Amino acid sequence: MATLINQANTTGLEYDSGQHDASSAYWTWAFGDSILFRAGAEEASNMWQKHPEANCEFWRFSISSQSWIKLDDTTIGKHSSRTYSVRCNDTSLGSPAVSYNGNDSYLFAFKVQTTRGESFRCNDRIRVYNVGTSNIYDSDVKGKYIYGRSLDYAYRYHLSSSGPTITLTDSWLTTAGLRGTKITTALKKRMISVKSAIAKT
Amino acid sequence: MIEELITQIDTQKIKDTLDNINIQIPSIAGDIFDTFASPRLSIVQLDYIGGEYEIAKFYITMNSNVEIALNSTYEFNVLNFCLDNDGDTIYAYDAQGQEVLGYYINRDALSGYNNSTYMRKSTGDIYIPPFRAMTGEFETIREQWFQTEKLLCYSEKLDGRMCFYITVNLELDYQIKEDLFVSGVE
Repeated sequence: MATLINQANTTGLEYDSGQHDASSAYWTWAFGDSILFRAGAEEASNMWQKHPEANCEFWRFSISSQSWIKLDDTTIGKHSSRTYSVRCNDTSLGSPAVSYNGNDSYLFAFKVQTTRGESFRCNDRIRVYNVGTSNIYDSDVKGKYIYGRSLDYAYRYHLSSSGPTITLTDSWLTTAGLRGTKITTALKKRMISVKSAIAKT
Repeated sequence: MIEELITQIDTQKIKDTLDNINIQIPSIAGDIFDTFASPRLSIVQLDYIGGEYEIAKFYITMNSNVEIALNSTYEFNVLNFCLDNDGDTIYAYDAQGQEVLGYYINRDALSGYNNSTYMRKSTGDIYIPPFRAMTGEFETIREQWFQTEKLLCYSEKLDGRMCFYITVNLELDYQIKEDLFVSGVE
């Protein structure tokens, strides 16, 4: 079991998308030790519209099986929300309905797709925490030669409208750029993926 | 298109009207008048004559069950409301608490590309979902508004008017007065 990161103190926050409607590209992706995601549905903007409903999904990419595993698939409606967490004790976005606290996955996918009503009345928000503040970083990877990603971001908010069939060789996921590089704190954003073990070849 | 439309709306006149009317709460309304959100201009009705249009109605959402409609000169037109236990009906009342007309509404028609009717007014007018193409001179206008994703529905009225209902969702930044809605009608 991985050590849960208590992010009640948000100094470790690497990225916060803010709350936005999920009207177009409703799949979000993130690498991370510690992640929070919240899907929400408001009421219709007027009485002539149907109240919104959204399909919410939570997936992890398994290191051991090298495949996507669905953790949750549910529908939320008017004035409701659903929160997912990854190795995180922070409940600032609500108490998690589903949590993943294992250490077989560091890449996750989240979906909020409006299935009824006005899409702009459904929304989502993701918070990705800085691996540099975690015990995992210090004990496992700091200063070691590992496989780091080529790009400096570990999250793609509202990347696409299809998933989780993301190509694992996409530029933001590939490890080619830093393969065998010594990872320092300055490269911590790239380190978040170090354990994803997607392309350690 | 939507930006141009919004520039033609005088929100101060809407606030002035809301400041100077008292509306009787209909006796069948239950508790839907107990709490209100910040009023929002949610929809405007555009009446097209040839290639020109005029704003014929302003629909102001008070909460998810209650709406006030103003006419083209920003005067009170009608109070619309729906009940939680009677979702297929929208009632229209005057300011004295008397029913003037009603609508049968099938909101599912907005999300299905089928032939079901979206709404029927007690006067006989039919309302069509925005994605359904029409014939004649107004199809280009329907298509343009549909592309903006702001078209709620349209209706060719029995009196000959072609009406388009545009979602604007304009916050009014306005606090309603305490006696906008008053009780007392049995």
